[in-house]
Amino acid sequence: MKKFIRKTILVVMATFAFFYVIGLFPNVIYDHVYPNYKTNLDFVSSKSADILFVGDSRVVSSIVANKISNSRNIGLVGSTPIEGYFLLKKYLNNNFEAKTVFVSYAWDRLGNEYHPEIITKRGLPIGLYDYKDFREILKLSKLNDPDFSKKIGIKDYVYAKTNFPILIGGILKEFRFSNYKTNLEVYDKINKQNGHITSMWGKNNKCDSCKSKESAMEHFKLKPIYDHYFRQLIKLCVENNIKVIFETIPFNESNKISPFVYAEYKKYIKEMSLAYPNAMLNDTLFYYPDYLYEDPHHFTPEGAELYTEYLIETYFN
Amino acid sequence: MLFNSIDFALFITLFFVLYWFVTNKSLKSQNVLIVFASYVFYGWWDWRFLFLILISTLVDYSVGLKLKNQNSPTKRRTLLWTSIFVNLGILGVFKYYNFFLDNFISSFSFFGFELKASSLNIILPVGISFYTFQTLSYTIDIYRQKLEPTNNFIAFAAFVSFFPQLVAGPIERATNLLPKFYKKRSFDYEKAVDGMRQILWGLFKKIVIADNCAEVVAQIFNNSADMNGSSLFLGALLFTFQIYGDFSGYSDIAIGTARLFGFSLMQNFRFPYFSRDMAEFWRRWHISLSSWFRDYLYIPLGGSRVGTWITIRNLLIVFIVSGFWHGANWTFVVWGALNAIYVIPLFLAKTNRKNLNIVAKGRLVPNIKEFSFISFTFLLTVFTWIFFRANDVSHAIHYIINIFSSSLFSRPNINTLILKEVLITLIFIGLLILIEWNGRESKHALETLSKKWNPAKRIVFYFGIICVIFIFGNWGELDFIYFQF
Repeated sequence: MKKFIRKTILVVMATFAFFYVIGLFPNVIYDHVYPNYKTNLDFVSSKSADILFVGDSRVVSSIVANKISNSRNIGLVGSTPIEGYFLLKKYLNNNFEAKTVFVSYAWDRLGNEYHPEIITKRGLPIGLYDYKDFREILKLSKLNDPDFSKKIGIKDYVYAKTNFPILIGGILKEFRFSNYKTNLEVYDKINKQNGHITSMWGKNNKCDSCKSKESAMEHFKLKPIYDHYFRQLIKLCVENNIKVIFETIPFNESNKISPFVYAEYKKYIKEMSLAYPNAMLNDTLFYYPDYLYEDPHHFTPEGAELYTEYLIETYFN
Repeated sequence: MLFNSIDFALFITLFFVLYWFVTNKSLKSQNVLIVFASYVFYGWWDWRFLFLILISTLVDYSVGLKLKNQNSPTKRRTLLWTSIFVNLGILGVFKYYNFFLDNFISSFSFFGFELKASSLNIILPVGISFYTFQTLSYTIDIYRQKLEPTNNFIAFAAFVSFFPQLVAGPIERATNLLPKFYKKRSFDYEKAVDGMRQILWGLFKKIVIADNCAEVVAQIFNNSADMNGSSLFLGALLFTFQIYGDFSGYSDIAIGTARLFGFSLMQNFRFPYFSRDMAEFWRRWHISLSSWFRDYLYIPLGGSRVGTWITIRNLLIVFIVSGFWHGANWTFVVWGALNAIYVIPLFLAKTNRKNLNIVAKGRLVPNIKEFSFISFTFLLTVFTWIFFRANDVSHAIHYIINIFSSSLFSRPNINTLILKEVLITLIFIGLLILIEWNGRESKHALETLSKKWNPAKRIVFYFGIICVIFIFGNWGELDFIYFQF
């Protein structure tokens, strides 16, 4: 019996030790996600800017922060309003100020789908959330969004803090030996480009027949948890006298959104505008030519330049 | 509670400590612990259905005791039918009520009569078909005077609810499992280590093979109208391995877990995809159910020792009932009938027991003849599994028709992101086949490794499998397919 228990404990410990050690090298096991999150977390705790761009990978790839003076793109790849809210909160808690916050999220980051993995596999292990933040998300999801609350639990926090094999194993699926070298380049690019990166999502430099998630939607179904944090994000800005601008990053021409879905989306934005009259929430949709996209959701460098010029003319002139 | 969950890992650790260190002095305490733990294990899904297990336990325990003291054939028969009525009644209400109601209404509407009846909004209790069949075998064996009834209620309750095999088998016979609850169990190092090996292999089959196949299979079957022939064939092929990995993986974990606590459960799978004909396949697939139907249905019907037509009828009945046991859907009935059609010619030609030995025994590879028979049998099963997986019979028929199109030899038109997953899964399926072929002469695939490989080689191999499970496994904690049966 003793021999059996000793051997079993040894195997379990060896497994945990192995994965724990691997987990100490996030630059190798993660792809470009890690430098994106890490540099933004470093930024919010040490630097400031007048204009901040908050959102998901579409924000990261679409807004050339270097073209707008004293601005910083703090978009997080794959993120939802939950990540955006906590990142901005960290920034403001460090007594940094901002004059304007531009927010944008893909529609599937506000509704239709849940993305718990962004919390469990990215936000938690990379250090976006501390225990108090995570408890808040759990508590709120139990109250507002029981379906979401079933997808995350306190065990995810334990996994993240102990480099639990399932967590590290799940991330290791993206493992490439080349990650290390690529990530060094991504760090360099992000630092030079104030948070903006492109050419990470598609390789064709054109997108003749792209189809985005939005164009496949039959309804826009808001998820309570994302709605809550979207409101919290806007409220946070309003309370800190920060001007908020919201709009959807343009779609490519092949992605004609169903008028019915668009009407549902517009209705939501209208509700938000009534709830936060000081925020500038734009529900207009824009379509850019297909050749300006790397994939259904992300601009080419040329597309990003054009869109940033539009933003400067419209909001930051 | 799922075997492939952290909850189960914690549960089994706690149970191990309590079983071997706290209750080990008294057999009764150990049995009470088994019952309690089994009820917790089952109640983890839905505690409300625990009362069904309790009813089955109480009824069959009482019927067993009454049968012992009853000599009148009529009264004995009445007692047996009480047990059958209660057990199959529970199964009928929870599993088949809506199916029969829907078909009844459809039949009437076919003749122009509109009936209005509302179906029951009920959830199918997990593993209901397994434990009802297990308890039924107890009363039938007592009725046939093959087994002495027990007056130890705790031992009987432990036999009915024994958690490793409660929800998806193997369906144990009272003659095999019940006596093990009367005797003091002692820890056997060799058996426990071998049990751990079997658990490891079961987890590999479930988490790496079955659950990775599951997502691709769902994509292909749910969008089958848009898929070309090669994609559809790939979907059927992957489902063939999904169902095997899922179900035999569960059995491996169940048998391995039981071994940790001094129990030997019956073998449920004997490398069925290496079968050389369909009769051999059915001697190797879900053995506990096949033998249950053989002993309690096929033989009482007359088996094969009757005329040709009666034998054909018996085989058809057994396979169709077996199909229907799997689920209340015509797809399962067709699946059962198809298997009967495959097996009947072998019975008629009296070649159904031709392949009783282990294929290519003592040889590294099969000869060409064996390989051709194995491949042919495997392809037959691939096509029957399409009915098992399809939403309805017409879906299955369209699926098969679309496989046999000119696009069968073109590149699969599935999403390129999925294609990468498929390639990785196919590599692990290759590994599964190699390891299982290597271990086909033993009770489970990894059993012989301890004899063939030195410790260093074994440690590297086991650790490699553990890493593959964690890195490439699908940890979405997907249910086992057979839970729904």
